[in-house]
Amino acid sequence: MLRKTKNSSIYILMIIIAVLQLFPLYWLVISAFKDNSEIIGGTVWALPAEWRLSNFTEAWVSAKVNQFFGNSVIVTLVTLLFVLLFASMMAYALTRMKFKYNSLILFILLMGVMVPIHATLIPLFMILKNLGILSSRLSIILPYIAVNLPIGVYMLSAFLRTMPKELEEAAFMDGCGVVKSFFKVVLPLLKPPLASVAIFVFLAVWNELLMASTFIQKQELRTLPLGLMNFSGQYSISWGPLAAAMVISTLPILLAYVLFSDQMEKSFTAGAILK
Amino acid sequence: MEKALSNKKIIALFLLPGLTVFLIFYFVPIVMTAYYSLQDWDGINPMAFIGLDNYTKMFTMDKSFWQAVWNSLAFLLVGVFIQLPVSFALALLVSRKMKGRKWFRNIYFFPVVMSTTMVSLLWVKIYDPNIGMLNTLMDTLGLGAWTGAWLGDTKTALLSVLIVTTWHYVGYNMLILFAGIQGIPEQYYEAAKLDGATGWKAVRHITFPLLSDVLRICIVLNVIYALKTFESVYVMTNGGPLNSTTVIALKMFQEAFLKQNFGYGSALAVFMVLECLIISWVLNKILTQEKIEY
Amino acid sequence: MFGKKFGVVAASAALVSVVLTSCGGAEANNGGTQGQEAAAADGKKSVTLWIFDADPMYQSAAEATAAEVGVELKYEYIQDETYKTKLSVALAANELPDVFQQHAGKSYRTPVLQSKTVAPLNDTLDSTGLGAQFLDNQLVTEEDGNIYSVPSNISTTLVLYYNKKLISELGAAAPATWEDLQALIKTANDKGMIPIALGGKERWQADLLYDMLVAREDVNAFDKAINGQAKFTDPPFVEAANKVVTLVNSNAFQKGFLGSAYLDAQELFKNDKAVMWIDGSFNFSSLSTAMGDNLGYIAFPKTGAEDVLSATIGFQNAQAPYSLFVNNSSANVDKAKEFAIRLSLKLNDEFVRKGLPGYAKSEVKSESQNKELSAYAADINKTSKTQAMWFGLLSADVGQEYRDLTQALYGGQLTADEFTAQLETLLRTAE
Repeated sequence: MLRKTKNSSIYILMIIIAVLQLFPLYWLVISAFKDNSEIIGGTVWALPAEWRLSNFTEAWVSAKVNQFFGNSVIVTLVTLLFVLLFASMMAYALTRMKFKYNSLILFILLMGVMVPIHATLIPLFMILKNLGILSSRLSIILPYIAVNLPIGVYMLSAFLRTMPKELEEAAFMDGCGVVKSFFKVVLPLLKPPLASVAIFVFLAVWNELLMASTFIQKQELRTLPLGLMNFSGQYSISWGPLAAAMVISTLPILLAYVLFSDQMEKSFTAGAILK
Repeated sequence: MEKALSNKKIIALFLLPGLTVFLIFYFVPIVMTAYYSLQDWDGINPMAFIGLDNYTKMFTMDKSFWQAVWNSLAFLLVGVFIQLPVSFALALLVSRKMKGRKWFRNIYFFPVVMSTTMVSLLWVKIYDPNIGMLNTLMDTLGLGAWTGAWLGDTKTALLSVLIVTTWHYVGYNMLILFAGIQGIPEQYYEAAKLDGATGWKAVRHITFPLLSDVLRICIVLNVIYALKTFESVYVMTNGGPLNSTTVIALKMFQEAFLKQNFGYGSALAVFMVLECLIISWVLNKILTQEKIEY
Repeated sequence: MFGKKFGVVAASAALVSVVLTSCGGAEANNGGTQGQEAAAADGKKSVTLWIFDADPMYQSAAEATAAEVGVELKYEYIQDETYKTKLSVALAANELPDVFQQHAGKSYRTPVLQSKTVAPLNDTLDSTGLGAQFLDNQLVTEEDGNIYSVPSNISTTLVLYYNKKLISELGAAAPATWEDLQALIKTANDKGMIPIALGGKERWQADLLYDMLVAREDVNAFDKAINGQAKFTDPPFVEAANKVVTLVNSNAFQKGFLGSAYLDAQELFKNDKAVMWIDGSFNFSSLSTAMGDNLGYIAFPKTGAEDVLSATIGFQNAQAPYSLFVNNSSANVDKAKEFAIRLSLKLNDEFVRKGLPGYAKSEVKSESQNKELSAYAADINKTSKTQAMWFGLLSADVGQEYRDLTQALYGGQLTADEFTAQLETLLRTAE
């Protein structure tokens, strides 16, 4: 009996927290269907009097949310690809190979984990300008790769240190070169920590606003955070289309999360093994 | 194998692509920032070397600088001492064997997948004292006396921003900790049960110590996130009202790109670097010490 | 062995170059200053234009102008606050678009001119004969004798808009004096309406209101003080600061106005939540579109010793107007110049069409029967002095600190005396 009350009170607690987490999102969704007078004048949590789709068409057509979303996907994927590739190669070199400045390089990289990217903003701007890539996608992709490499190397080399060498040695005996045994044997074994790094990097890149807003000058190249910021300036007047834009841009991520949440939890478990 | 692993060409092949990008787009800029911080420079006219004047100005004349330091610290403290315990409690809740726990887990995690900019724009509207949801809701619940101007009041603005960041990221830590709890073998709890340790006792004596490594990672991640806070403040308050929510990163951005004091902005950036390095060093000291205690 | 290794290197190099070129290619296709390759393909030159004005009128005017000049237009709207930082970045990096808008005021104009990245327009103004279209004193001639910009907006002054519906609900009239204003604030508060909507987040609106209050105390107070003939701690400044404190204490502004964004606050006014709105006359067209006959106008009330038509706060196009500049390293600078000039004239047509006093000759007839606008036009002709907004006369960093200072006054952190004392220190050292 006592146990039952305890259980149901825990349920109630969990439901309350769930409501707290979801209520702002509920408000976002209903606002996406309202027009301005209803948002400013009506009851804030009431369902819309009429389920207008015009906000969504406006967000899609005039605000080009699809374009921002596509840009964010491109930038995030390219960054992810290179961070994972470079970081695993570097981590492998730093943990398995023997050379002079090994520890110095590791030290500099580890400092990079803690240094805020904002500190690089002003000179980066000059470097990008001199390289002539300011205002292309590369102007944010390259810095994103650079700033996310340290955490990647840090997490992967921690994993590699605990990983036995036997498999690589066996592959090497079979006549694979270092390069081939790395891609054929080591990389597949790195999957779990790579997934953790991927999630970390994804969140960092997907959210980044400072560099994007400083370096991306062209409208067609704006990423989602930047696009929404801008949209909010032009349309803060009409919160409905802005809310619709937010709903549109969250849906694919939400879908991806629901589909892959099991894998994600697994990779978090793997990440948690890291010491 | 040993020989192949000492082959300079192979080492270069593995190391150079990443290292080059890192050096050019991360390391060199930081060194350049240090150089710029010694200059008086508006970004357009030629630089003038002024030694440590920017730093003197920062520490002695700039009132909002210390406000920004304190605010960054507030983000750090809330991240470690409030958000993390809440995440831990949630992780414990969702790892209980009960119906629908996967749903709860998904719901708690959901805000994490929204971008910070979006979350911030959303909460600006929620907090709006005149048309926002929060005050209206409180009025209806009979809490009318507690309504406020939230982001528009120097007394509540920082707290309001902190609530949003906690709301946004609590699920992230929860999931890492949940994964850690899942990694603890069932036998430990069963053995403890025989010794009469259940509920809170089991948490205290088994979950907590066995999770110490994961907790350490969480603390480090939280500290990094806290010290790098920019987006949420930039979008929600732009540092205001009256600098009550400003953080170093935002101040640096405003000095350089709004007031065109690139030199002074760089000095702030250098301070940020040192602050982060010192805090992470201290953190490392404390956390490794704690580890020995277990 | 070597072959395999080489294969991997080659493969990763190929991968890198594919990504790099695909990104570079995207850039080339997306126009901008380097957009020549794409533009050349269909034989049209392209012009990239940056605008921070959210009014859709700018985009339609730009599109019409592009068709007229025969260029392909890349129109980019950038949110105002972002624009300010973005443009300073672009100036420092010499990465400007072909044509760009810049804010009014010396603090915004000087960096543009100092950067030496903008092209003089004299030759095109002369060769096309379009220069003669602009009215006297509407084109700014710089110290070197060149004209670098054309206006993108009319001379703007600070006015008080009010919501006619709400005023009549309150049974009141638009305030003419300080006492009227205070009474109206009280009535509005009693009825649960917001007396004055104010966007305090960006700080400029509050800063302009203080400028205005000082001008109402003494028309020449600022000029005298900045020239060293008087002090910023003198009575007009203290009295105006006291009036700010009185307004704040009597809840003249909406709850949390210090954190309200300008556009959000404006929305309160447009949606019948706030009775009054203090803003530039440049907003006449967009406000009257949104509110129709509900929009009322008066010159700022007589809050001090000076008469309402003695002065107004704003800026004259003769000094440092909202401008269009042309990037001198633009790939097709001549077309860009012509585009900028014609766009300026096209915008002028739009202003005239709305019944506003334009800055150039126009064949367009005013379509507006708006009484409020005619009243404004009549008032502005009778106003003796336009005091330039202070911010526009200060350098970028001092200007920002001045705005911080006014925010501290509005936020109740400083008393009127403390505020003026700090104002004196700040503006005195700035000279």
